[in-house]
Amino acid sequence: MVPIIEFNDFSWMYKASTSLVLKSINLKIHRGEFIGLMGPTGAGKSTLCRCINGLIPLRTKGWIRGTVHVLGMNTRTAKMSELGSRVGLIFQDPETQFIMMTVEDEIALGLETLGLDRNEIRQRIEWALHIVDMDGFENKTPEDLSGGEKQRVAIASILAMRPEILILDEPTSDLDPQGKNKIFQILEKIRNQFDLTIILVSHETEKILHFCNRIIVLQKGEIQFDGHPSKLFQDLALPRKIGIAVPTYLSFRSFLPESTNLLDPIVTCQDLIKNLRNVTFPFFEKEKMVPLAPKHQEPVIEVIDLSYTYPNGTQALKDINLQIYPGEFLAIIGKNGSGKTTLVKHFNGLLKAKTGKILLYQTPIDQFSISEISQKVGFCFQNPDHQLFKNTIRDEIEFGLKNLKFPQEEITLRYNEITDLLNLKQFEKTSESSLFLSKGIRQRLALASILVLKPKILIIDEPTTGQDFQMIEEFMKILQKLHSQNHTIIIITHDPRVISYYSKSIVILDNGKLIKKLPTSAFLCDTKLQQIAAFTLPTELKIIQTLQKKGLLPSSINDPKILLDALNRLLH
Amino acid sequence: MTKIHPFTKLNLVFWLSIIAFILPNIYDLLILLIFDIILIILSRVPLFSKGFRKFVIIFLLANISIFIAWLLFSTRPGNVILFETSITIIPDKWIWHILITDQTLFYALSISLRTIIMFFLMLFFFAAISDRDLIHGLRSIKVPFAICLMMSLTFRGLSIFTQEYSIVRDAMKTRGVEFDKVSIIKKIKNFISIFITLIVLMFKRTEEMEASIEARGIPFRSKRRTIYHYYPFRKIDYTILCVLFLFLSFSIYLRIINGSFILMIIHLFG
Repeated sequence: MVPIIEFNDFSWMYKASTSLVLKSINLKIHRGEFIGLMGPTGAGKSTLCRCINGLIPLRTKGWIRGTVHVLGMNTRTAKMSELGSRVGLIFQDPETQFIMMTVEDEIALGLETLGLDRNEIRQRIEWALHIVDMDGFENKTPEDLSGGEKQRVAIASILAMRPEILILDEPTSDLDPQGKNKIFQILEKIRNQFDLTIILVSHETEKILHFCNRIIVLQKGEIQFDGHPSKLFQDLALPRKIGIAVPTYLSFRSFLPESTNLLDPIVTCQDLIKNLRNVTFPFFEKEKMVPLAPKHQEPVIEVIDLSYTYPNGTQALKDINLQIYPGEFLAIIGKNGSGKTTLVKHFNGLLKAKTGKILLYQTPIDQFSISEISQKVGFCFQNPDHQLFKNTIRDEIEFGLKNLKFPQEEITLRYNEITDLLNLKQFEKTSESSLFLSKGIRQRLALASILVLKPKILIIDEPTTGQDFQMIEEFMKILQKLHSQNHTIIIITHDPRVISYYSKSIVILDNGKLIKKLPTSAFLCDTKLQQIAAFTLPTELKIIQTLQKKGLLPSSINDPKILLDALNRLLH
Repeated sequence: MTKIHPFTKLNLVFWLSIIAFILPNIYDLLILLIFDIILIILSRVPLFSKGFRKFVIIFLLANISIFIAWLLFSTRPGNVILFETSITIIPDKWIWHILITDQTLFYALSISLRTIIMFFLMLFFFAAISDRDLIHGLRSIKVPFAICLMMSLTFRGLSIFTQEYSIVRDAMKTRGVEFDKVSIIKKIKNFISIFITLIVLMFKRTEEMEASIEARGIPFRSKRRTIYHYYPFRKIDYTILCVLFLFLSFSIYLRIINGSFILMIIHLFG
């Protein structure tokens, strides 16, 4: 069978770069394959995708060796219009892929290029919108759509061109859980209906395992693994070494027969049930659920009867009452548009309470100036690029202190403290401009620029979006460290792992209303609240709960994390 | 109004604004203003809606200031002196001489009328031509695809820019940067910092948008490209453009002879 994509000893280096981004790649991909492309950030995944689509080398300057043949065309000599129409490439950010004014125009843009007549274009627009479940969205503008819907428009505009190869470069990393689920449902539909070759770049190992029949792992521009997903996880040391998230439930493998299909959580669970029937867990009864710490202290933030309506008439918050105590690690969760960001923007005065009151350390927040608040409440934005505006790491970190007119000795002292705490000193030496640092480091730098003002309350908006497994782990460890130093941490997140394993308490918002504040362990057992918050329990915790329901694990312990920990201790 | 081609509407706005500056006589400007108001009514500009009201009030206040400034600071000789006085600001050094003649009044009124005409035309432009219609309209009259795409990208870019501006401003506030209770110099410095971040972001966004267009294989020039939204140029468009051309030529003529259309008509009919 002739491959439709063939890399022959292919190497690539960007013009501005000093090292190879892809090194001697040899790769053959056949029609109809569904490939998962994995690897840590900076491994060369996006570059590989661009090489298949022809953006490299046709529209990007750099050094090249070897050849890439796609659908029989040499990408060095092919026409970009030909390659682009036959190889669809969908990027990570749905915002910048939407070029035209309406959904209809966006899809028509590519079809006009193919020279199709108006009737054919209209039919294809309707067809593509139907595939992505967006019938009737023709006249919607980008402002009317959520991130997930915009990404579906991007997929529709590519599908309408009827490509033979579809490449999705981290299509869900900027989306909330609902948006993600919808994209994966569409991928499922496409996989079943069309004879497409699909290449999916994602950090979501479980999804890759579910969809793909072949995984390619890149690290530092080289292929580290190429084969069936089951082979990649035969030895968990390899994916862990590369920095790929290993689904926790795979650690049950030693307790399962060799025939178990570990890539299927349902089968894993069924086999685990069979094998656990004759096992007793003597230590379980001694385990206790950790209760939420008693509140002897005054709250650091108190929200009283807060309602907020945006100038366009949208009511974002309705009668919120909430107390946040010192030393809490609180996750604020809820569907998109539930009012999470609007609520936390009141905690540091970015939004003023029109109805209700916000008390910061028992004082109405409007009695503090912006500079005073910045030293009490730190706020880290989702995208570090919004927060960084100085050329060097030192300027960036010192900016806040200089702005508040701190003495130079104090500035130097705090700078040294913070760069040590967040491990940033090494990068100051290696990079002149903070613009050229990786996203993970820039996120750390944004945190440093806030922490240097020594706020005891930290608000972090979506700290894990678009980051790989290792970056998330590193960042969350920093937050844990700060929490252990008596910082109050408030995070807005959709990440099930961050919610389950890092936060100690949860606030659920739905449609502008506060549904409940409760300990994380209690939330993990409450399926009703999980549904309201659009939360998906991590697979390993789902397995634990299934085992509990079957009577194989004690039901008296209602924190699945304790059971998971105990089970892991038993199995290893 | 919906039957008129966006390109014709664009021409109406552009050339009527030019004509407002060419016409020398206040009575002719009044006629133009009436025509402007008809356009506004036909295009159903929601002048008194919540969104527009604010702009209309700000404009009217600005326009009254312009009128008063012209009245008080320009000393044009005229046939009738309406008001004259001198105010000593600094003794023996600066004496403010106010002279309001019939000509000063006419001149201030005509300046005021011109700005009102242009403001109404601008309202008409925003209310009667959507960015989408404009792009489709231009493509339909064979304006190069690259220019239309650039325009579309500019409109999208502006929308993204506005969103990002408020995020960056909030991000700076979280680092203790005051925007309200500081001196103008400090304010300017703060805005420069915002714009540095925004420019870096816009470079990134532009690169991403460019990659997205290229990745779909959309060339700037293509012989086989078709047009999905075709806006035909009708008889009414040709007629409007012809009338507009005649009106422009006549206005230039009036300017040269320093005449007035209304006075000509009155003179003609005795």
